Amino acid sequence: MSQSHSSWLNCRVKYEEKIQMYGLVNQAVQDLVVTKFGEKSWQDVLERSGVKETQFISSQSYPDQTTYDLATAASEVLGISLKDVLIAFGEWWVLDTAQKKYGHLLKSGGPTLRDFLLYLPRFHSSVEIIYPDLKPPEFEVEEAAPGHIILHYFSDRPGLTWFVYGLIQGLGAFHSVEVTIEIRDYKDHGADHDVFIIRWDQNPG
Amino acid sequence: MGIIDQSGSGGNHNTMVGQFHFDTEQINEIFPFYFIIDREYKICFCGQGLNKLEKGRDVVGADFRELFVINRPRRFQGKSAETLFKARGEEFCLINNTGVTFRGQFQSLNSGELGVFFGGPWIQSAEELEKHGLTLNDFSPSDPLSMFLMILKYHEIANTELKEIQQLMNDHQIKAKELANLNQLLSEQKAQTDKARQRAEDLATEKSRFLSLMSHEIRTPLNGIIGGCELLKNQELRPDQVVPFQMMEESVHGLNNLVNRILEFSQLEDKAVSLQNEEVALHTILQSTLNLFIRNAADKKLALSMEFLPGCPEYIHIDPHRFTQVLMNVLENAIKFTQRGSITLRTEMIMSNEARDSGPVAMRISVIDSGSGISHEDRKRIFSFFEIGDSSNNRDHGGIGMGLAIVKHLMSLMEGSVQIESRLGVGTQVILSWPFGSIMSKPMPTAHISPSTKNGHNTGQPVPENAKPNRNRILIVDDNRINQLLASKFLAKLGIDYDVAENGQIAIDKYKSGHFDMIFMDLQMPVLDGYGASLEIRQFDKNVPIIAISANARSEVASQIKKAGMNEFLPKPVTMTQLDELVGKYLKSTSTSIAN
Repeated sequence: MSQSHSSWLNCRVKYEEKIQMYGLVNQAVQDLVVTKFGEKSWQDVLERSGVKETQFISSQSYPDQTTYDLATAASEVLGISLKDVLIAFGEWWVLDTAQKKYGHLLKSGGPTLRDFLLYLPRFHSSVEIIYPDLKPPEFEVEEAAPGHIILHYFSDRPGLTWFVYGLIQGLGAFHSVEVTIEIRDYKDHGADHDVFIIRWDQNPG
Repeated sequence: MGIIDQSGSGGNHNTMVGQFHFDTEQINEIFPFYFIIDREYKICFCGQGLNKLEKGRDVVGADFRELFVINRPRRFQGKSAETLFKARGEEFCLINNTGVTFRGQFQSLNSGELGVFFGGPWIQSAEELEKHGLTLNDFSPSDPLSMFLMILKYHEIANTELKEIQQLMNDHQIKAKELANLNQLLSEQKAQTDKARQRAEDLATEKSRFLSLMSHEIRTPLNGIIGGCELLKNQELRPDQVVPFQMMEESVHGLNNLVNRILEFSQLEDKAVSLQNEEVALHTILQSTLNLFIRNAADKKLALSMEFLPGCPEYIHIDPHRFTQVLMNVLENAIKFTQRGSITLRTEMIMSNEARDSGPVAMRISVIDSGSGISHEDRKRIFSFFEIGDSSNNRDHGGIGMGLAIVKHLMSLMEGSVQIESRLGVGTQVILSWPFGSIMSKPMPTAHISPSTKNGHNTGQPVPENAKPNRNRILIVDDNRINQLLASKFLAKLGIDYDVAENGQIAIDKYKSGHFDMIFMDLQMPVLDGYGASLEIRQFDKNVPIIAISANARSEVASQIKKAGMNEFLPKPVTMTQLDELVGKYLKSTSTSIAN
């Protein structure tokens, strides 16, 4: 079992049903599996996960465990590591789900990757104010230099580091820049929180 | 009231509110869309957001009235700037020349020399925000606009999903309605089907009843004709009578065959055939069946032989009537389609290839002829009802193509199988096979014949050859005058005494008052039928052989006669040979066999 998988499972044991996840997240997992692997694979994932719901409502909250179970089952059914599932899911979230659901609101975060990342903390604060039960993560952004941002990710949810990694990759693709991401601090390895070092070429080409 | 440094909009200018100090940078962060105007409506300062919204146009220095219209409160339209400065606590809605609405309020600065507008654009969608070249980062964190836009977006998503769910529900409702309609339709169709099935069952019952009746009604006169032929055959005919007699005899046998086939077919079609599983002496039943065809074979100068190979069992468990019926059908076909040569009835046991020591796996009875053979095409359809090998109008042989179809059905009922191997011009081999386990019985007790026990009467069991005394007496019970006449003529020929009873009741009375060794009992009679009469006789005599003789040859008769205590069933038409065999089987007699 991979290190990430092991951490994930450990976290699942500790993690109870207190925190809820937006249905939109589970919809995205469903969309990703159905689009990339077909309806049959999704049915297999659902069956393996033991999740009873067959449809998710985006604005309804679901136990986090549901999302964890779906991701774990997807890894097992599709024969892909959990890390790769989470990265793919993060990219899919930005490039498909968020664009379809939020549309212009995604663009209103800023015209560039830098602007969007700088707005990220406020965006999640708004989510929490609107939906206090959802406990969205917190971000802190340091602009070290042009094309170089240090992103601090604070979350009560364990095991989502690679999901955030995928999100950042997706945001880079959304803004047409190629990002390199380094995980400087890893919460699952004992750090206080995850820290991502994000770099990209300010003047590509 | 604060004091503002008017040295410019971009620098670090201090503003004092009470004892606190804000510089313009801080005000800019809190109200990025603020602007300050003087009494002449000239804009002196503005925030970065307003500059961005105006897309680089010089806002500072411009006339407020060229950029904005006061939409609400309308009473301030056309009023002096000082009036606006004094309107503290009023909520203003301004609309700029690109149509953006600004919400906010005016405050007086520097003792009414200047007025400041604290507020910002009221954007209602992310699309509108994008249209005006703004991002959420252009708004102060204290501005609820970003949250407002998110709430709107979430509601929009929720509404979209709600519509999707409603659509889904509508679709489900439509489908539910369609299903209900379908269900209704299916219910109606089921009712119609039930009605049709009931009608079919009624018709089948009616057909069965009709066939039973017809069988009886046709067989009764046939019995008379065939019996008459039998009697005539033993008399010397004039030369001119021989050919017409032969024509009549062949025709009536053909008709009898046809009636039998139709009856068998109807029984198989009704699935009305029930098997009577009995212990049967294999060699005996084969030989006696073959004997039935000796004359037919001799007529065509065909050699008819039987091969009973070593290892065959002495007894098997099978329905003797159906077994005989199958053999007769196959033998009859073989004789019919063989013009010269021979017909062999071979019985053998098939051993397992894998384990010869484990004993036989099947019993095989083959009827091998040297006839014209059956083509490959004909072999495919020959087991279907009403299919005949040669269906052309000028074919040589009669028949309606039911024989082998009946054989196949009966073999299937008896857990056996039938197959045909044939070569045109060489001959045909019809192979009947039974799995050994399905027909094998326990060894037959060697002594199953008991001596007579009561009043010199027979025990109802066959008697050994060496124990047959002479002069027996048989009671013929039949309401049909021709049948009475026929049976009495036959018995007279066989040298057996007889008496006749016209119905079951008379039979009981005569039996009680007289002495009879055997009873030939018709089944369908007025006053009291054969079943009732037999039951009554069995009350006081368990042993006298009672042979049911009836034109009703439906398969269910066999079980009914057993229930009534009768020993055996002989379907009409009855031949003298059959009667002779029965007498020989049950009675101690020295009667003259017709064979003599």
